[in-house]
Amino acid sequence: MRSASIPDRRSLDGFGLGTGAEAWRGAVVRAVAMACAAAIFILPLVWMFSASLRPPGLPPPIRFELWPPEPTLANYSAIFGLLPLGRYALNSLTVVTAAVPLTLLTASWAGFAMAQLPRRVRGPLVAVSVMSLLVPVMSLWLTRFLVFKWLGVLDSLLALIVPAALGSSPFYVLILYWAFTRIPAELFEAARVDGCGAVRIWWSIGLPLVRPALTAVGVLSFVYYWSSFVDPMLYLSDQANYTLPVALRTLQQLHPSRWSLLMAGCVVVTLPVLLVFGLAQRHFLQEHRGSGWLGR
Amino acid sequence: MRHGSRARLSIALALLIASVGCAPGADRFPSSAATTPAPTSAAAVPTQAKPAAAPANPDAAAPKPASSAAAGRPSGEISYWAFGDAEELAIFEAVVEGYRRHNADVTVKLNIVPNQNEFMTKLSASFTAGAGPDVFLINYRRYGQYAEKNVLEPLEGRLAASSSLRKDQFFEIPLKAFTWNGTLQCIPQNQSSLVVYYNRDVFEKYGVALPRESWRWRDFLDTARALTKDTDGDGGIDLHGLAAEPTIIRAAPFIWQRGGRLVDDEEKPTRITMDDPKTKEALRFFVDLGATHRVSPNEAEYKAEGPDSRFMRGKAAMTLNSRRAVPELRTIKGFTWDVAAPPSDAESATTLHSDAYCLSAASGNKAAAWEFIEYAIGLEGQQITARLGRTVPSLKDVATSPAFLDPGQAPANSKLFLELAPKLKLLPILAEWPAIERFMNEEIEAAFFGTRSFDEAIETANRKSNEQLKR
Repeated sequence: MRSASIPDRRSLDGFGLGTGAEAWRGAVVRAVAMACAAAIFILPLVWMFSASLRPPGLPPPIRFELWPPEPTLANYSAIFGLLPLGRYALNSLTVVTAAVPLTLLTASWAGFAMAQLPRRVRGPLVAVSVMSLLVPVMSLWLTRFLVFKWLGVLDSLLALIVPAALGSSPFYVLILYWAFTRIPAELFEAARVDGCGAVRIWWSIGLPLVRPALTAVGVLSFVYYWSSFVDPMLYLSDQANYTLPVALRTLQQLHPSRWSLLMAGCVVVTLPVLLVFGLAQRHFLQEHRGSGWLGR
Repeated sequence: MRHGSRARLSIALALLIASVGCAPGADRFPSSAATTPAPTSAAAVPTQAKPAAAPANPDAAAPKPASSAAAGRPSGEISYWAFGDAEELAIFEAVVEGYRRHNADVTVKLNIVPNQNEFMTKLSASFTAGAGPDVFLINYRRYGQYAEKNVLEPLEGRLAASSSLRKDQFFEIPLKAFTWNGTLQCIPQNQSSLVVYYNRDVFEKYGVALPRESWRWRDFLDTARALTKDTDGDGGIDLHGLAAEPTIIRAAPFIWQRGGRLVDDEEKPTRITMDDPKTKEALRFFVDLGATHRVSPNEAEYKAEGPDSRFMRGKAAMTLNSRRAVPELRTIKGFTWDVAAPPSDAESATTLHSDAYCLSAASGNKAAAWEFIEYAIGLEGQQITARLGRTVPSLKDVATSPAFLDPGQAPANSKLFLELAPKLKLLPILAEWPAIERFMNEEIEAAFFGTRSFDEAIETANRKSNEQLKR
């Protein structure tokens, strides 16, 4: 027996309402599903913020606590007293300000150059790129240490920025390579006929057409450099050069009864990332014109 | 088209090959010190600055401390590395600042690494690359690998020649812990001992006798049993008699108390002896606290909340820890707590916890580095360090002063840490110890929580440890 609340499909269709009602139902289901998915990802952020308001010195809560009993903002001022967070934040900003644009420049050069090569040459290069992604990062620590020492950049922020001069990661190069290969070759050919050089074609034709992929690489490299902990830990010896992830790790070593300070630190470190993602997400998730990330 | 392709290929190849070394991956250190690169021998390590020709006996040729040398006071820059949390950082900075007032001609570049495993990784990589620190602070369980590779500058001669310090001013056992092949390698900054922290109010509430100085294993077990309670009658345990980490550093005192041992020869260990009958008896007693008597939280409870936190919430009547727990426990407002000696069996014994200042053999400014160490381990430096309350000073004069024994501060029985000094025993000083300790901990934990039989766990721990030792 059909419930009275569920309308008859044929009768609705007869009035031309079927499509609208189904679309409405679909929209509701979709919205609920999206809200549930969003909640899963937002909940840790909400918990991080509420835990940052918990007075320090109390044993950690044993169950999920959405709001602490006596919320306080004192943890935020306390962490700036415990650690030179302002200095560390400035260092982190310096690193991302230099490393992210440099990554975009070098990774897009490499990706563009690869995309212009004959197919028989590209294949092995892509294979080398993918294989290089499989190299365990810890196997590079010592070699990099020696290279940085030889370059004389140990113990300076340059040690954190230098990888950007090499594209930061083969993955970023590959993203841009794939994006460039989706641009019709005729476009580049036409530009060449018009007398454009390689740099002009890369700048005026290539880059505007791979903007979503470029944004994706920008966001990914921002997150990488912003949250990189091992590099400053290994290659810096002067406290004054430390970046924010080291500060977080230092706060994490506190007794669990003081982890509200760690959570306050997490909020401070996470906010800029959220801000960058908010600003970039239009490009990052762009769907119109079939040109989301990877130039779909 | 063909004209540009060669140039493009060159650029693409160069960038690709170069970027191999820049792949961001799991941005984490391994959790185990065993995966850290071992430092190369000092002979093979390029030095930061060319050290003086290595004497046959470094102690005999050790220069007089620069602070007392006629040539004048040292100057320049030295690096000092240690590990610690945000609150310890302030103490490290205070020591450096104190030294700066003492000798403004030396700049100390402080580098605090948050976590001990990460510290070991950094230290090993730095020494191997010839860019290690001048001075560093390290635990006695972890310095063996550096002493073995001759990365450390022996300090016996410098201490003997010091105009401000004498060896007999220090507690004896930490000095022994940092003696390698008969020579003092590093100067202890602190010593601590494993003690029993207990919730006095809970003992009184349930009418259980407070721990006595001479209590024995049976008393300890009976006390833990009497204080393991289902207080709300729901069938679940709400108060545990004991909350403790099931690790070798916590279990070791029981082994020594029974007369067991961890290695065949403490001076020159060649074999791990977890299969020693007395060692097994002691480990059985320790493991049974969790697996059989269930006076300690089960695995899920333990993973959900650590022993310190459970004790602070008043949900564990006793916990085992070193002096390190004191600053946090001082924040407890709901109940009174104190410390007691570990129970005894055939004899009394407890585990040494100690860190020391080491001087790098490759340091380019040993005079300044030693002067800094001299300051940091001296009266003033140790008084500053004692402020945090987390360690027991290694200098007897400071340990017996109000800087440590502050009567206004908990625990009331703080002098216990000094009374236990003669009863301290060392975990083996081995280059392989960090890895061995990890094997032991894995198996002791499995047996403690009943996920592996006792015999199987001990046999596995013993076999893996000996395999590691033979490598």
